Amino acid sequence: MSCDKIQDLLSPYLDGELDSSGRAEVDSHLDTCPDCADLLARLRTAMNAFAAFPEVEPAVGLSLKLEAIPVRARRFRLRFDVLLRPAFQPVLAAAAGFLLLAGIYLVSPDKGLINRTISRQFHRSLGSVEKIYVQAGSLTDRLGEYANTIFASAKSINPIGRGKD
Amino acid sequence: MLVDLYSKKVFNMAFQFTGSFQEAEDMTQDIFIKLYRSLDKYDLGRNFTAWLLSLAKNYLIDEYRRTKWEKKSRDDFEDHAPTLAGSDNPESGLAEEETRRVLWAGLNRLPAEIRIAVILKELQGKSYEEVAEIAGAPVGTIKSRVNRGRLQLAQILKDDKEGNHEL
Repeated sequence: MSCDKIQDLLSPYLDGELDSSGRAEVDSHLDTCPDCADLLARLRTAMNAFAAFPEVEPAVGLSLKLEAIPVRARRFRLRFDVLLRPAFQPVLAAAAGFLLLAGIYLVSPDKGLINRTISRQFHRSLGSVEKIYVQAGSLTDRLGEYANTIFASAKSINPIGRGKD
Repeated sequence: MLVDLYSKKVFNMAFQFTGSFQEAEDMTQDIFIKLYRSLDKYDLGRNFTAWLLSLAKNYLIDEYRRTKWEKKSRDDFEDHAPTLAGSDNPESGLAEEETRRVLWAGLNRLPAEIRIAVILKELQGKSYEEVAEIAGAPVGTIKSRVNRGRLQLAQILKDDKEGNHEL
């Protein structure tokens, strides 16, 4: 077996995951290959050294900082994050505009004047829409007439001029 | 209660991954904020420690990729581990200390996914199955990552002994 294949087996060998035949195969290679035997020794050294690394104690202040994250603030921030998403900003702007206008209306001393103005503007706008609708209707009628004229002219044309012969 | 039970685990994982005590503290706070925000997504049928460490692992790797952050050198491990057991024999004690130093620095040279697998398996003593659950990868993939990490670290030890100091 090649050294590359043996190297892939060294971890399972050290973890005790090889069956007896796999183990015997690795042992036999190690007996004749000083490079792989050296690699195995280093792997053992590394694993033993890692096993001796202790857990490190965090600074005392860390626990206090972690405990100081108030649950309510986190929940609020979670909902607030949704409101601050860029996709939500046009909705916020529209809502702010609507609230501003509603506020002006509510505090205005002369609501009757505002109502009359709104009504007048509404009916003017409605009149404008009606005019546009009528103009659009006459335009389609005229287009229809133009189309009929073009078809009639096209029928009277003789493209190869045979009639004159 | 969550802080008492899990802050040390999360902090150590962050410290082992980044090699920086200060970064690990900042990241532990970020991970706990993320934890509180994600608690409603926790599936009660799942092992809570594995779920939390999975969240921490995702944060560490995302942060690593997002900031392309890589320290040139790590804090001296010995500075933060005053209780580190020494050997009775001063000579072998020095050799062990040197091995620890080289391995600790060598962690920085492992790719992020391999580094996490090695940290969980070797430094935190998890089984391959536990590492697979935390990493969200098949056990075979984790075994392969740990094997590659071990071989790379063995090579780093060899290079150090032969005087090819790149650490």
